[in-house]
Amino acid sequence: MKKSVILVCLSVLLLTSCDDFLTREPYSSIGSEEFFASENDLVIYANGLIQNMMPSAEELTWDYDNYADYLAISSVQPFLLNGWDFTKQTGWSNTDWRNLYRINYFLKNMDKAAPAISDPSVLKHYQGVARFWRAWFYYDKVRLFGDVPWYDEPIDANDTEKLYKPRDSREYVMDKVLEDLNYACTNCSDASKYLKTSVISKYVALALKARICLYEGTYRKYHTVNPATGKPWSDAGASTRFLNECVSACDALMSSNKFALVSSSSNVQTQYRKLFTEQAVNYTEVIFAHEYQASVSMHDVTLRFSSAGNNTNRWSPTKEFINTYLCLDGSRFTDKTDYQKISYIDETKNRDYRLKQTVITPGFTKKVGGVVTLTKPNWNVTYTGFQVIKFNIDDNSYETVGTSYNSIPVFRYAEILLNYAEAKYELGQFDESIWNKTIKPLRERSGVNGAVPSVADPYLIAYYNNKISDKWLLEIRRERAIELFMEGSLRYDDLMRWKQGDLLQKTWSSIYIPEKNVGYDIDGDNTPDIMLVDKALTKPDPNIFYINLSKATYYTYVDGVLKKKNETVWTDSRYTHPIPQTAIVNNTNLTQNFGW
Amino acid sequence: MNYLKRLCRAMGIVFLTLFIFVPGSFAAKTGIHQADARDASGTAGEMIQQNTRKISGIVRDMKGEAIPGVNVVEKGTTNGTVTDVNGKFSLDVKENALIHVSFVGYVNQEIAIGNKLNFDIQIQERTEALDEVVVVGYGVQKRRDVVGAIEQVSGEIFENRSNPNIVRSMQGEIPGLTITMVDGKPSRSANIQIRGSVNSIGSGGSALVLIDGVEGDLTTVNPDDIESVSVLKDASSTAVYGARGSFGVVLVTTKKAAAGKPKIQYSGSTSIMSRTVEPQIVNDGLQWTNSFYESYYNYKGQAPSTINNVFNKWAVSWNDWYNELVVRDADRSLDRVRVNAKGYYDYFGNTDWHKVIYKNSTTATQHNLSVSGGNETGTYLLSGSFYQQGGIYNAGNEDFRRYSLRAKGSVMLRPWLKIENNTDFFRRKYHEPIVMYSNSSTDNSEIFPIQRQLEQQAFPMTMERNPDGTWTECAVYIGWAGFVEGTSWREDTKFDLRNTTTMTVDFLKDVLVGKADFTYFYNQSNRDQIGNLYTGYISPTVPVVHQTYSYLENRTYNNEYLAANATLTYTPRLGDNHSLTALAGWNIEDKTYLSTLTNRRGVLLPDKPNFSLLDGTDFNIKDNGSYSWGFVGTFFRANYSFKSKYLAEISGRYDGTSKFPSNQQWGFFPSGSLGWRISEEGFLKSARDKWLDNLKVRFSAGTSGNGLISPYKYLSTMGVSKSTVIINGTSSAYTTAPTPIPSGLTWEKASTVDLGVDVDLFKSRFNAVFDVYKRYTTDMYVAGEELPAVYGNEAPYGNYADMRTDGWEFSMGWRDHFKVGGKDLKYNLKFMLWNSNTFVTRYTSTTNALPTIYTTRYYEGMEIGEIWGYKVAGFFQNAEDVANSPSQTQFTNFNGTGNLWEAGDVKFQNLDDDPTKITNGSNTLADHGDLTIIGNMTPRYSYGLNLGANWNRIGLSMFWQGVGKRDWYPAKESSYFWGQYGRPYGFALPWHNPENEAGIDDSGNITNGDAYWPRLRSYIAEVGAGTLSNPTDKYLQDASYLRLKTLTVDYTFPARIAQAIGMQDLRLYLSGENLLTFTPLKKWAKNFDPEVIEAGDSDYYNTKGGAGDGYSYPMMKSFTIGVNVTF
Repeated sequence: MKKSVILVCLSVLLLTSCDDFLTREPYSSIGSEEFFASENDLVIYANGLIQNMMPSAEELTWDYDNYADYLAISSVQPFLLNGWDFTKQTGWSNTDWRNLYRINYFLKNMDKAAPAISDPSVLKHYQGVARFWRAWFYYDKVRLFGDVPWYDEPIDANDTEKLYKPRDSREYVMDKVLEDLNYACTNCSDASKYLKTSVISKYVALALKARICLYEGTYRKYHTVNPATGKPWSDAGASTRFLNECVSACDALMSSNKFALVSSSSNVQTQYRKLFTEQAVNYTEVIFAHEYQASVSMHDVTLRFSSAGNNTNRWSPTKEFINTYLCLDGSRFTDKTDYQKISYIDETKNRDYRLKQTVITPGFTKKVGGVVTLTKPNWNVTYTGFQVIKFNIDDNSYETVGTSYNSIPVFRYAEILLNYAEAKYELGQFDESIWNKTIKPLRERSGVNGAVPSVADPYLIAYYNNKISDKWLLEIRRERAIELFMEGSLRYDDLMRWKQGDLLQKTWSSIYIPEKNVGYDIDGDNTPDIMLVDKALTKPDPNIFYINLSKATYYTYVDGVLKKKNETVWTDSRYTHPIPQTAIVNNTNLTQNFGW
Repeated sequence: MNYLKRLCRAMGIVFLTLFIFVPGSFAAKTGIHQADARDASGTAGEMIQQNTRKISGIVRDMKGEAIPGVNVVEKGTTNGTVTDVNGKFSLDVKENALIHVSFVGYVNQEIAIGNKLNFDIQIQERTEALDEVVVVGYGVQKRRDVVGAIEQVSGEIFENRSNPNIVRSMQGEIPGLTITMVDGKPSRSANIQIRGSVNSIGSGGSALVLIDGVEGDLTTVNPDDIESVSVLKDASSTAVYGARGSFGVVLVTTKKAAAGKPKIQYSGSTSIMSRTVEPQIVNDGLQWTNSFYESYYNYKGQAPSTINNVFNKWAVSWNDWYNELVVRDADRSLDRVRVNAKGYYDYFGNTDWHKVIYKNSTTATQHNLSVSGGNETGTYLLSGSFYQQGGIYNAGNEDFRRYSLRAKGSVMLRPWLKIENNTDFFRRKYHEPIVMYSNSSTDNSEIFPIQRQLEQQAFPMTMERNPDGTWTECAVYIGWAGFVEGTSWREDTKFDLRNTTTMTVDFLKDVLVGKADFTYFYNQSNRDQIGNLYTGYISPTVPVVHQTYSYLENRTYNNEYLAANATLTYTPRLGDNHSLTALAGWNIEDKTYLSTLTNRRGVLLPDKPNFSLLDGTDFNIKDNGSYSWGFVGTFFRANYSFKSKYLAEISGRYDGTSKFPSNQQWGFFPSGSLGWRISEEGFLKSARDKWLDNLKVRFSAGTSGNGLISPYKYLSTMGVSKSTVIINGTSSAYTTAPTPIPSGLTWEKASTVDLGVDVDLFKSRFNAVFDVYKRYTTDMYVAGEELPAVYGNEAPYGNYADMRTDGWEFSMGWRDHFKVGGKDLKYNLKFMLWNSNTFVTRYTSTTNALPTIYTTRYYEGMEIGEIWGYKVAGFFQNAEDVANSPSQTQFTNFNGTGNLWEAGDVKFQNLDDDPTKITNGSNTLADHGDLTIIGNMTPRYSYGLNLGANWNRIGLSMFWQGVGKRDWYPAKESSYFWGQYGRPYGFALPWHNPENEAGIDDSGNITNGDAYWPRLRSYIAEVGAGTLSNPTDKYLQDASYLRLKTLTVDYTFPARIAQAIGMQDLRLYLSGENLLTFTPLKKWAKNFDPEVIEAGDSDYYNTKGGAGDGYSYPMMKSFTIGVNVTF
């Protein structure tokens, strides 16, 4: 009897239902079905876009600008050398497209949170945020490849039509980008909790819009054909349209009164550089920044700009570029007689204070082992004698991996003024009133007389290969190069949109070094610091840096300057990069760019 | 909440069980007393008739254990009975009758009853191997009836061996079970694979380990507790475990409590252990420096200017320091340290850092004590063990301790109802000093192995301490200061508690038996790790600290596991010709694993790491991989045999698991097997009478799903992390889009076909087993065809790959005895050999990139483990030879500022159609340039050889183990092999000398062209594109080996001596582990133990090509003296 009771009980156990038992939720992650249930979910997801898409310190300093015309470097970007082709090109892998998937996933799913959010503008704000990032994503892709396929929703693995579709034209894509930007500028919030911090607000969207619209507006103006296809643009009015959109974005920012140049007459010698070397972001001028924090999130910038080791590209501003810094009285350095033979010590005197805040000049000090020490340019780091310090913390204890914590601006009000000035010029609307609103305050902030120049600068006309000669435009470009020096890819992009890729082939010169085999003082202490020699000395002086011309094959010594050969090759096909081979293999409907 | 729910469910099962049995158990108690009373009365059997009487008794085996199911028959009649669960019987017989006692596997006995009414009968087991009982899934089978591929060894293999865990002792003992050691660390388990080196390239999976029927950890089993280890290899034998046993099952059965008077056993041993290999490197400062200079000069084209930690390049020049080194080398009485002109220390030592760091030997101690006994109604066994192993370092308090306690008991509540309980408690603690220097600034697990630190910073010229007793920069940098100060360490602790309660119910005596068990397992493990800062001095006054932070880290791991099984076994009596056993069962498992990681920087008191005594602002608390899963299955098995000649078995299991999406959770997996005992056929009768005991052919086939996958593999989830970008002024929480999970996924499957032959000859003196099998792992979950990049995700995963393993296993044994000096000499030997090859038979990813020794990749048609590399044509003879040979610019051959090739450099063979250059093409199958398959890194032809002899109470046994074939290419960074061909700032090896190296003369021609090594040029085995960093046939090493794993001599004292000192049995032994090794590595890779050729230390930084091969904890050899006593 008892036995059968047990048998029955066992059978009951066996038949126990186990549907619940076989359903397990992971502990440390959230099932994607359950996500987007609250405003906080939107915040967390939007944070992911910042985490993944915020440009790095590297991308905000030497990114593409280190191949630009104004720098001598140790190794030229391979893209700018002969032999580059679609087998070497990268930038079209699934990781390169992942952020688009993330943005579109957000846009597709965020509505699920709507019932939990009482204020509909919150959802719109985050739609704006997503579209802000999508605009930026496509801006990056278009800069690289010209025509690219446009997707505004995540692609299913089985959706062969979308996966294998051909490229859309740049004109179509950039119109879509403009739609996204306008949506973001309209719907991203300007509430104070989104300001003065590293999240996206209406003003950040306006700043991006200003940058992209100036880029596209001037690009369509200076390029008569689409470099991706070699065929003329179909929309003739696009240039004006984009430039007007740029002006309206700048206007909105300038009239908001939320931002201003950091400009105090007592700090003209330091206030410019402080925007780049402090942990605390100066949100008076900075609209958006990559914030860093000591011992939490750090970068290598000080190391990369000051170490002679493997980490540096020896970025050295060329003498030709340094020459464009004005004198404090507003006069041009290159108008001086024999300006090419002025010593390093003398030429750095009485110049636009941005010079001493951008490169080492005599009297520069930094802490070495805790002691404030006069520091001269390190010829292991510079080729030209000009060594960049714009983003450095002046203390050699930060010259190690991952120890710099100065926040780096992404968008500054100064750029808005320059964008405004240039867009106005390109629309034919520039005059002295615009000058007074834009270039003048930028100059005065750094101690330079902001008076309107009377004539076009012949030095700059020549610098731009005689392609432009309008005094306003030349001054706008001078100001832009100096003010935005090495802030990411801005200079390289300028050359691209102005169709001045030919400038990348300029030969680079050093400071003036009157003669060989004689020690030359560069820090003003009347003891020699460097010496050019034809062969290694048997008894070198340990206090002198010798440049052995027989070993340093990259240098030639001509007319008192070291010239460094520029190996860059420029062809107009390089206004776009080739579509990588793997991309074309995986989708044969992708056509190759013109000239590749 | 979930946790509570599950606990409730578990408690429910327990209460239900109790509820059923409690009323019964009270009754049972009284019943037992009655039975005892009857037994005690002895002859109180009841007389029924004048000429019949009722006799009763018990049948035991020679060990005194009662045997149920024994046939007791009145001779010449059909009057008979069988013994009950307690081995007892009662029977009415005629006076003066004979009773015939028979039981399968035992020698028959006839007993005249005479006047006795009560019998205590002992029957003797037949020694024939055929009657051996083999443990199979949810039961046992006679070896003669087994039709699956099952191999069993007894617990004897663990005796007399001093190993921190049993996995080490199992290596090589079971054909088809490949155990690969990683290193000699006491806390380390090993890779355990049944058949094939890789089970699934998709979801992975390995053998299921069951200890007394419940999933467990082999490293926690006390070796003295083990009765047998059974390995189920084919689909037929594992089918009852379904998706849990798809890649084989290891069944460990612990010893049973035996009835009888209390038996106390003690065994103890103590061992001396030392490293199997003590690396040979150059420890002479001048010799190292000269070798350094040459390798550096050949790389850089200019003289070196500095050596880290040795002299300060800003203070003195190379020449200044070097000239002084020469002076001080010549006059050894001079100081090894000086303070130079600028006030900094310069070093001129000849330090043997390996000697500074490693002890010559260490010790281990082991104690095991067990007590067992009982009577017909109840038995008990209590067994405890302790093992301690000391450290291998001269400092740092390394210590390994293992404690375990097992309590087993059984009670017969009713003649038809038995309850057993098995409780197991385990505690382990391992403290080891660590280099606090981590490879990663965010991951404190990526600690560098000490050898890597030695390689890169501890040059012989450096010293441990400065003249004033302070640490040198080197001692701080390599982490040795932390070892000595004892304040940078890791401690792993593990606590396990397992309880299994089993009840066995005879529903219908011997015909229908039910069994149910319930297990609760709880484990708590912790890992505490602390890294501190140390100050060295580079001058008498200038300190240097190498790290920027100190930290404390704690990881906790909580495991809760519940399992229950219920089976019914039906064995109908079908007459002499037919035998059938049918089993049906049900199994449920529930596992919850919770883990947390906490760390914070800023240790205030190095000696007192505690989270309340830290001041760092940088801290981190996170989940460390928690998961849970549930498994439920029902299964059946039926064995049928006709005249013990034709055997058949079918089994199957219907499985459900939480690891799959709800529409894919269930799967049914069948298998079947057939056996034919040819030896039972009439036509072999004459052979059977003479020499043939058994000849059996078996065939099995079956399929099971792979349920051994990680629990959330098929779920679309979004993780939340702390941003590394400052958002809103801080590191904020963020998430991102989930990886898309494709729909329509299905189970990976493993199907095996197995053909086996068992042979027993010469009265079981000889036996052999041969199995050949194929295993198909199909529908493996791998990356599929690559989609256009705009998809934005990796190629979606799916069931896109198949794999096949072809293998065979062979074992043979011989045992016999003969007289020597009037005494019996018994001897035995057993030889085992097995092999398998695994091929990828379907792989749909279109990239087909080739695997490298640094990256695992697959393509269709690939054999697992293959090494792609270049063939070496020799060395370049001169500049002309270089000019006329294909360009090698694919590689980096540092030479001054360029990448030039000269006489004495390695020259590759051109294998492709392009004669202009040596290239790897696009490193794909379709375009692999001059790459070709040069070897295979999978260990192949594993073998073991057991030899034993016993004479006059003296025993000798020996176990050899080895691997017949294995190729190994030492990865870059492996300085024990590459020396200064890697970093010039690395180990200098004594055999990297001009005698063995090619050179170049003044006119640019090669010298010593027959040498093994090329010109000494550093970094060519260090950077990824270096000429030696990529596998080449010339430097491919043969890592096969033969090793004397253990050698034991023991002596059993005569019983009278033992008894004189109050013991029943006394045995002493001496044994050695890893005593002898034969390997081709001894030629050029003598710094390596063939079992420790992995990169780094898998507890720390072990990226192949990152940390050097062989930089793990050294393998140990040991000498042990031990005693075994029975009271």
